[in-house]
Amino acid sequence: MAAIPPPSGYDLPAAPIVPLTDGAPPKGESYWDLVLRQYRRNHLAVASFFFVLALYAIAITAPFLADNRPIVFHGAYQGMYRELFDEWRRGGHPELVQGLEAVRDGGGSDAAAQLLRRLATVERQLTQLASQLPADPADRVLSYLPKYQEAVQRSRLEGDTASALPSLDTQLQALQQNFREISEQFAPNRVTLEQKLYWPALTSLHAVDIFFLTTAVFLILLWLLRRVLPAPIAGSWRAQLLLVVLPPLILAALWSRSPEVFDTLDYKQQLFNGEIENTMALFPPIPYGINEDHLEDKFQGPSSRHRIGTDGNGRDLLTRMIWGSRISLSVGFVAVAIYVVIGILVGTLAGYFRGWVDLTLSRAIEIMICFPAFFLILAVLAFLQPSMWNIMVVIGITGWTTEARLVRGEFLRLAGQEFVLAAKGLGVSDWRIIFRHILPNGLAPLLVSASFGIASAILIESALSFLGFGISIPIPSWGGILNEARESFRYWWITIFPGLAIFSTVTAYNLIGEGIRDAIDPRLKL
Amino acid sequence: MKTYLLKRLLLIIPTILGISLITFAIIRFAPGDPAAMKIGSSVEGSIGDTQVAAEIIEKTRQQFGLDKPIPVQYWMWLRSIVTLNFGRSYKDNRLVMDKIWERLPITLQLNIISLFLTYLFAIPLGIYSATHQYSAPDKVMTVGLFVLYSLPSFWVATILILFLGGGDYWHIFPISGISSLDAEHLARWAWLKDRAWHLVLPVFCLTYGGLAYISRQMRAGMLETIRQDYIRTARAKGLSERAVVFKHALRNSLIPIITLLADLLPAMLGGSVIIESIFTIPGMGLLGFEAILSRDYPVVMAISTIAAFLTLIGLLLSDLCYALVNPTISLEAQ
Repeated sequence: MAAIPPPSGYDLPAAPIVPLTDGAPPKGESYWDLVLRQYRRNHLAVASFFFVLALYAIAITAPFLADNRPIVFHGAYQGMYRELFDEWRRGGHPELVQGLEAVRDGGGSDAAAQLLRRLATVERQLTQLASQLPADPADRVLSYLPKYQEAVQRSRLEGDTASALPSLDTQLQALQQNFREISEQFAPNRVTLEQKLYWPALTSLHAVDIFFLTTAVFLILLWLLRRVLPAPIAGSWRAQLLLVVLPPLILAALWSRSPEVFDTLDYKQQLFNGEIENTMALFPPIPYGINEDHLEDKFQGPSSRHRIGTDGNGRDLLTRMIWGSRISLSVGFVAVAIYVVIGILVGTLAGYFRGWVDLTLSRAIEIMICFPAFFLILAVLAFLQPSMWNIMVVIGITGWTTEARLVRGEFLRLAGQEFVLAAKGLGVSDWRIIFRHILPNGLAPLLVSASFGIASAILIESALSFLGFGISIPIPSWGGILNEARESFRYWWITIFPGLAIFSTVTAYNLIGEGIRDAIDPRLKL
Repeated sequence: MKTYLLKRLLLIIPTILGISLITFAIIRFAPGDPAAMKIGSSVEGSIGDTQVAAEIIEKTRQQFGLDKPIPVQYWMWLRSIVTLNFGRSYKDNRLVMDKIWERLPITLQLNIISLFLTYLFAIPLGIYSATHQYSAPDKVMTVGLFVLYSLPSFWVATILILFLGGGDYWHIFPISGISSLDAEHLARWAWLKDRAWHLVLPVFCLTYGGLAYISRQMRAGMLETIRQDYIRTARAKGLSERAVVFKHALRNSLIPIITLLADLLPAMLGGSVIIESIFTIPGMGLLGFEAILSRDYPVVMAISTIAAFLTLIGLLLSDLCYALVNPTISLEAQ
C-alpha cells in the first residue's frame, strides 16, 4: 500500500509494515507473570516458599530419612528362610498329607477343595525357599514340586483313569520320601543362602507414598526439562499437570494391586543376633523407628545419638517429628482444599445470582460463623472417631465461611462488569461464565486466604491433638507430642521442638499468604 | 440508616431459627438413645427382664417427649431455648442453666479482660507503627507481632508454665485455678490481687494473638487513611501532626477495627477451651470440654446455643456500630 507522504515539517519515519502471516505476535506478560515477578521481590516470602517445599520433601521422603528399616541390605536373610522352612515342615507338608489321607478315606468334595488350597500353600512355600537359594539347590527344591502335584491330581480322579495310575498310597509314600530328603538337604543349618539385595524400605511403602514420591520425581523432571518441552505441552498448564499427575496415579494403582507387606520386623535386632547375615546394610540417616521404644533411654536430652532427645517411652524425637510433619502438612492442605471448594460453591452462587439466593446463603454463612468452630469440631470428633480423614473433613466443614464471604464479595464486584455482560450476550451458560470467566479473575484473594487457612488448619489440628482428640494411629502428630509433654514438663526438648516446628510452619504459610497479598496489590509499584 | 437497622434486626430471626434447627438436628442425630442414656446405669444395674427395661425406657421417652413427631419436638426445643431451660445434665442431674450460670462469669471475665487489653494495646501500637513507618521500632514491632501471631497458644501456655510457673525454673505465677485455695479468707484487696495474679498467664495467652492481629490491621488501616487526600488537606491547613492523626485519621481507621470485633468473638470460646483446660480454670469452655468427653449432650447443646447467640449479638452490635459511623451503608452494598 503506498504511503501517503506526511505534511512537510514533520519528520516521521515510515511506519514498518508487519506482515500478519509471520506467526503470532510476541506474547505479553500474563497477570500471573506479573504477580510472580512482584512476589519474587519479597525475599522473605520466597524463602518461606522454599521452606514449605523443603517440609513437603521431608514429609514425602520420611521412610528414607528416618526409619529403623534399612533402605537396602545385601545379604542372606537367615531368619526368613528358617521361618519358611519351619512353616513347610510343621504346617504345609503335614496338612497336605492329612488332606490326601482324608480324601483317600472318603472325605468328599469339601476335602478336595481344601486340598487345592493346601497344595497352593506348599507350592508357595517351596518357591519362596527356592528364591533364597543359589541356582543349583533352588532347582533341586523345585524338582520336588511335581510329586506333590501328581499326588493331588491322583486323589481327585476316580474310576477307570484312577486304576491306571499308581495308587494313592504309593503317592503318599513318595511324599514321605520328599519330606525326608528335603529336611536333610535343605535344613537351615545345612544350606548356604544366596546373597541377595533386599529393599525393606521400598517394600513397606503404601500406594499413597508411591503416588507422592513419583509425583515429586515427575515435577522435578518437568522443571529440569522445562526448556526442551515440545511447544504444545510447554504452553498449556493443563497438559503439564496431566503429565505430572497421571503417571504417578497409574503407578500407585499398580502398586496397590500387589498384596500389602506388613513388615513389622525389627531389622536392627535381627542384624544384631545374626538372623540376617549381611555384607552391606544401608540405614536411613536417622536410624530410629517411630515406635521403637527403649525404656532405658527415656527422657534423654539431645545428644549425638538422639539428635533432639527421646520422649517418655524412649522413642527418638526427631523421627517422630519427621513423620509428624506428614500429618500436619496433609491435614492442612486437604482441609483447606475441602473448604475452598465449599466456599467457592457457596460464594459463587451467592454472588452471581444475588436476590433471595444471596439472602439465604448469607444467612447460612452467618449461622456457620456464629457457631464456635473449635467447639463444634471437638463435639463432632467426640461423636465420630478421630481418624485423619474425619479431622480433615470436620475442619473443612467448619472453616469455609471466610472463603465464601471473600468469593461472594469478589463476585458481587465482578459480576456487574462488561465482560460478563458480553458473555451473557453471547449466550454462554451461567456455569461457564462463573468458572471460566469470573472465577479466574477473582482467584488471587482466594489464594491469600487459602494460605492463611492452611496455617490456621495446622494450628487447629495441633490443638486437637494436644487436647487428645487427634489421630490415634501410630504416626505421631506434633500436637500429639506436645500432649505427651504435658506430663513431663521438665524435659524441655519435648516441649520446645515440636512447638518450634508448628510455629515455623505456620509462620512460613503466613508469610507466603502475606507475600501473595502484597504481590496482587495493585497499588504497589512494579 | 433506620431502614438498614430495621432490616438487619429482622434478618436476625432466620439466623436464630437456623441455629436452633442445627442444634436440634445434632441432638436428634447424635449416636446413642437419649432416653437410654438418661436412665443409664440404673437400668444396666437391674438384671431383670429386658421387658421391664424397655418399659422404663418407653416411659422416659414419653416423659421427655421423645416419642412425639419431630416437628413437635422441634417446637418444644424452640420453647426451651427461649425460656433458657436446657434440661438437666446427664452427669449429675443438675439443671444445665445452673451449671452454666456458675461458670459463665469466669469465662466472661477472662474474655472481656483480654478483649479490653487487646484493644488497649493494639490501637496505640498500630498508630505508632503507622506514623513511624519504616523506622527501626516499626520494623522490630512488625516482625515481633508477626511472630506472636504465629505462635500456637497452647504451646505458649505450656512454655510459660514450664519457665514461670514452678518446676525447674522460676516460680512467679500460679498455674491452676483462678484463686488460691484459701481465697475466701483474704481481705478484699488481697483477694483481688490473688485473683489478678492467677489470671495473668491465661489472659496473656488469650490476648497476644488478638493483639498481634488487631495491631497489624490497625497499622494497615491507618496507613491507608493517612494517604487520603483529606489528610493532606488537613496538614496543608497547618494543623499539628497530633491533631491530624488523632482527630482525623484515627476515627476513620477505627471503623474496620470495630468490625473486627465480630471476627474475634467466635474465636473467644474456642481459645477459651484450650486455655481453660491447660490452666484448669473453671469456666464455660472447660465445662463444654468435659461435657463433650462425658457425652453430656444437654450441656454441650446448651453451650453451643449460648455461644452462638452471644456471637450473633456481637455480630449485630458490630454491624450496628458500623452503621452508626457510616450512615451510607445499605444492605445491598455489602
